[in-house]
Amino acid sequence: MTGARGLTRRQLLGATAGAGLALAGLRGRASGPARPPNVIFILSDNHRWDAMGLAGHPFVRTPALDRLAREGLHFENAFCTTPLCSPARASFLTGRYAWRHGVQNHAERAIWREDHVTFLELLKSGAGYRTAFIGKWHMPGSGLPKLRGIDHFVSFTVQDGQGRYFDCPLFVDGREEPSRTPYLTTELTDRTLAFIEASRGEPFCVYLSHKAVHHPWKPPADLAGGYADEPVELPEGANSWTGFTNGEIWGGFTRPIEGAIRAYMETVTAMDREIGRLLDRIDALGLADDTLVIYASDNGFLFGEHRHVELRWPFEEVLRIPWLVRWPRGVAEPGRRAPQLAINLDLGPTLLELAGLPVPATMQGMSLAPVLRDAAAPGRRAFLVENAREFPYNAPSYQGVRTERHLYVEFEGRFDPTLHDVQADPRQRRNLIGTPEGERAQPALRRALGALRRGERLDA
Amino acid sequence: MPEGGWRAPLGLLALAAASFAVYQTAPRTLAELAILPYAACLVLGASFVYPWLRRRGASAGRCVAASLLVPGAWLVKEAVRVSAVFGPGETLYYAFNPISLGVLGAAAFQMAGWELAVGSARRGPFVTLAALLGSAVAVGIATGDSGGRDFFYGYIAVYRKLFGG
Repeated sequence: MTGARGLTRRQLLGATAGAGLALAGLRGRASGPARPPNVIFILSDNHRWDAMGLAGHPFVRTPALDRLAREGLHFENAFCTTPLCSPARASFLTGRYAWRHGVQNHAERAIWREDHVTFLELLKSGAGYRTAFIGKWHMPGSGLPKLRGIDHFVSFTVQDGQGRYFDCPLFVDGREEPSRTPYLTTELTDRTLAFIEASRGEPFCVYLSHKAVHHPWKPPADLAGGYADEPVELPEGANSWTGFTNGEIWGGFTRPIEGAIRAYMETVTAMDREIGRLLDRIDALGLADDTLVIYASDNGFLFGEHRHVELRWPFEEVLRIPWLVRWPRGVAEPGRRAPQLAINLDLGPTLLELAGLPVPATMQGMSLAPVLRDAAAPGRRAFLVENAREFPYNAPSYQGVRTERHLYVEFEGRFDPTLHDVQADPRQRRNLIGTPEGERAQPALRRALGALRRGERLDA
Repeated sequence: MPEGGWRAPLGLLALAAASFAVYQTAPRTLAELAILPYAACLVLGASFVYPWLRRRGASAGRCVAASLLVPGAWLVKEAVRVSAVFGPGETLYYAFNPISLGVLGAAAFQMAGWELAVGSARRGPFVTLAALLGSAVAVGIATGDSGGRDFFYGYIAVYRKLFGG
């Protein structure tokens, strides 16, 4: 599928609005489609797919996320396509790969363009949603964006847009305001709840973008030290100081990895507590059945695997993301796990389909709505992974293809390609390049990579 | 340079290199032991080399050069690593990162501190005091939590101006 480069933003919005009006015209009929669901999209930062109780983590407590999985659907093969905050976030918003939306890293030349169309804008223009963006924006460019189709915008600019866990000053609909609550995760949840309560009676979509769990991992006082006595097993090849050596220091570690992991998990639990509060309030307001709650993270995180920390590298620990969906009215067989490959580009197409709106050709993701309805729905065969090098971080530029079985990556610079069988070797310990198995698999993977580079979508 | 004057700095360099090799290749327990001499040579080596040479009558210039041998070698090692991803100009700019400045600042702090505490006030206390304060600031900026982050953001802002990143 190629992008519709000739389609202007005005034409795109016009087509969407037209479809929305057609949908509205159907609503008067007894057999018309149901009211589109409310949407609460909760996006965390750097949350590993395995740092949840439901994923079998040995000590982290995440009762709210566990509840989402129990009452909804757990996409157990969900991925980001660029393991870095800003590109991944832009992909969630636009439904496009980084090479297409242009936010390829945090560099100033890789800026968010104001002509990007987000799914929020399309939900508003096409289906009359009341929309809010609340939390971390963090895109390269000058300050905060002028997003169209957003009724309520809350974010922050301190620390280069990363915010602060405590006493973080905010921008609320263009006005600078001090925080009302000391802890940022709580503040953002409070503002989300206020928006929801003010929006009852019409469909709403909230994009709640937490700073958690980005370093420096500061939980609230009552949770700080809560995991101090938990044993932490480091991955093979890592040691307590991996975060300080070989250029890994830019990953933001200020303590040995064991201490960092404990603080990280405490911050996960703090965020989970706020998610639980949000879910409880939705239930109390009687909105649960009509509200689609999606939880995901922008990317995962490395804690010493392959002797790296933080992000950017093409490893499962940083490419995999948690992805949970709860919608009592719309998810069949709640409590199941969906094996279909899901990527961050799929969020926009999914929400648009569920709202009864057409998915623009410029979006490169696919709708996961069929998977919500039917466990046997087909998924995609492969997707592109990519990274653009960024000073002073270690990871080179690369592009690769991830299928259900393999991850094949081609690098720039002095790095050889890698090929891993991620089913047989999920820790990616054995590079199959140069082996008989690798030689059998590589040609098809190179063709798939070529197709993805040309903008084709490889559905099942 | 006094006779055998390079013994101390070269010995320290050999210890740093051996420790680093062990750190990179050994199992975890041994690696975590090896990091201690490696870090000590890099960050505290000047407090050994500089007085050792000053007491043997080496000139100030040679004392400083010998004290910066291990940090200099470390900078070269880092440049080789960085050059796998970045071009020559960026590799050169990398040397001015907060951690590098902190390592060099720590060496300057130790040299200047020795001069003030033990060395000769005849050499100009104001110069020595200025070096001490300047290096303390460099170490502080590089290592302080919020200060370190803010300095890093400033370092990246300058990089973008220079290289259009």
